[in-house]
Amino acid sequence: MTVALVKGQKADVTKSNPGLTRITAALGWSAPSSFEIDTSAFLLAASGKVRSDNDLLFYGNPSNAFLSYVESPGGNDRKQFKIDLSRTDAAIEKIAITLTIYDGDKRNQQFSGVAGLYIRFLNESTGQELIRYDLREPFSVENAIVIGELYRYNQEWKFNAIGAGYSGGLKDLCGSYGIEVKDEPKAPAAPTPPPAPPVPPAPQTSSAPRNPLIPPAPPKPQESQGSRIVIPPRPGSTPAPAPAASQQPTSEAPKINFSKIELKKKGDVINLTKQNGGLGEILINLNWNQKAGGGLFKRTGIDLDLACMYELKDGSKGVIQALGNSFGSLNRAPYVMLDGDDRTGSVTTGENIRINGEKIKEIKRLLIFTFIYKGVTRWSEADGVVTLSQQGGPDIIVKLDEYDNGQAMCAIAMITNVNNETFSIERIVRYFEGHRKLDSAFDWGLSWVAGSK
Amino acid sequence: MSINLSKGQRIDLTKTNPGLTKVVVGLGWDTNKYAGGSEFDLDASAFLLHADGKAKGAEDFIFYNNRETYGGAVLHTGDNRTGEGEGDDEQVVIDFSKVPAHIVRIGITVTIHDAPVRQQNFGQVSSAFVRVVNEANNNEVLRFDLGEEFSTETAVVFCEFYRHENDWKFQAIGSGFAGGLADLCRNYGLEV
Repeated sequence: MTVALVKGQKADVTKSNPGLTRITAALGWSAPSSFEIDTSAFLLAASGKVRSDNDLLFYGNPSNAFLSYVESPGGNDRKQFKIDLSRTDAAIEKIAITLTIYDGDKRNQQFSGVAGLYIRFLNESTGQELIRYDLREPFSVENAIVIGELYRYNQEWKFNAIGAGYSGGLKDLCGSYGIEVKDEPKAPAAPTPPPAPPVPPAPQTSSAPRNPLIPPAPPKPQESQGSRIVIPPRPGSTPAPAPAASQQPTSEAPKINFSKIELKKKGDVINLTKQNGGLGEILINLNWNQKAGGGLFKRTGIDLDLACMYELKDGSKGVIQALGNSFGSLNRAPYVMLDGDDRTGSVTTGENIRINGEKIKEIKRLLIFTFIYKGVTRWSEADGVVTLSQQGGPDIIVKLDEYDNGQAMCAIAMITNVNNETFSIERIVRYFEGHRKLDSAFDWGLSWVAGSK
Repeated sequence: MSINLSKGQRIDLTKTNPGLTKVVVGLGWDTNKYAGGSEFDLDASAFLLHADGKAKGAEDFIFYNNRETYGGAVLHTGDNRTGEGEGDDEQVVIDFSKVPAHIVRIGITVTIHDAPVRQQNFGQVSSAFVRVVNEANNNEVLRFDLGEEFSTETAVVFCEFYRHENDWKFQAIGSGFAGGLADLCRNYGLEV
């Protein structure tokens, strides 16, 4: 029989269930689809703190010797932790199970918008529900909550229904458990605040904040009472554009760059990361209709072509697109190349344009656009995503999430030479009837004839 | 040297501490520090009980709005609304020499103010303790840590002082009740 708990209540887990060692902690809730909710378990020593980053179990660190995170348990449960209480490290006094709303502060999402929160504990071998705690008390400002804590008491394990939390997100939560969260890697310094015309921003000086995307210095010995962790963005999510680069702490902590930067609004501009070795090759990928749930690249009768108008420093202009077999070249002008057109639907990677960053001095500007070659002009179904990958820097993402279904062409992003050192990327996402309208809107000055591929 | 008591334990006070006449009963607790929700406001009270185990009137009930009785026999030093900081959160001072003969037992309780509205209970309170300090020399005589057995209770009787022959003894109680201060009052025979 299930023991139903209320907030503040404590329940025996093992004492009243002799022989129980393997339990499943299952969590569920209902929230708007715009909420991305992450489940974590903090393994706490007697100090109430984690011993190291490894004591935070979540999607990025899903298992250890006695606890594993289950991303998709099936059934009504959203997430699960499978825990073997008999194998827990003796130094672990508590296991705190928490939920956080990813980017809740930026998106202004709190647990007040989440309903039906529960945790239940099952005997893993029999599936029998032992304890259930429904979080009925309303939340207000919290975007990180502690559902409850499993804890040792007199050689047994108990569960404390906590149901309270913090308004500062994962950072507050981690702070309370002794983990110092570093902000996700920020965008490279972009002195021109969006929205701004694609004018070249001032070059970075040596006094500018340290670029977080440059490979970090060797790690420092960690302090005994705390630890640092870099939380990678959750799978499939895209952090909001980074605020001012000056907020970036200059820290020697090791950092893994899992980051993606999304240009969300028209006019958002970001500069590519300038590496010591130059820009290298820049890959622009267009993908579409990849629903988060399915994961398979499927074509729904829409064939999007990725294309680019270029203007070089020597005044030459042109278009790179499958239409008319203008694929360009990486090593000769225009130093921009379109990979073969994918019309078979068998390629899951979409379409790619490559830019030879070593030839930046030859390139004035590039306008990346896409058009629906075949199929209905239903951009809302295509769900296009453009990802710009650079060596050593974060991916930059432009989602075609503003639609004009009547138009066949979409200007995605303007790439502009900045002082022959780097490119700035500006989100455009404007729709046009065709090449001519696009051309005139951006004063390109090409002459257009109809073509086919 | 302070003695740590466990729940239910009884101990001599004045007999083993000759000359002890005035004690400070220090009560402390921690509330979980989370954002959102309401602040915790815990209130210490003292019920002065007659031979039949009941309080008979307002003079037998010490709380934040009635902080002194019987000429200073029992004194509440003041309401602490946050439970912040180390050490005692609230104190009750008992001068055994002034306690009238008809008072044979003094119950010390802590209640969560406005618990139903704030959706709070003692399960959300941790590290609760009561300690008895000799007021004359500031030495701690005994201490009772209430442990972690409370959950949905909103009122807890921490301890009782009681007469035994010519001495005062102490009993560690740690019993919780649902309900608030008003329920405790009714339990002790007061009309509210």
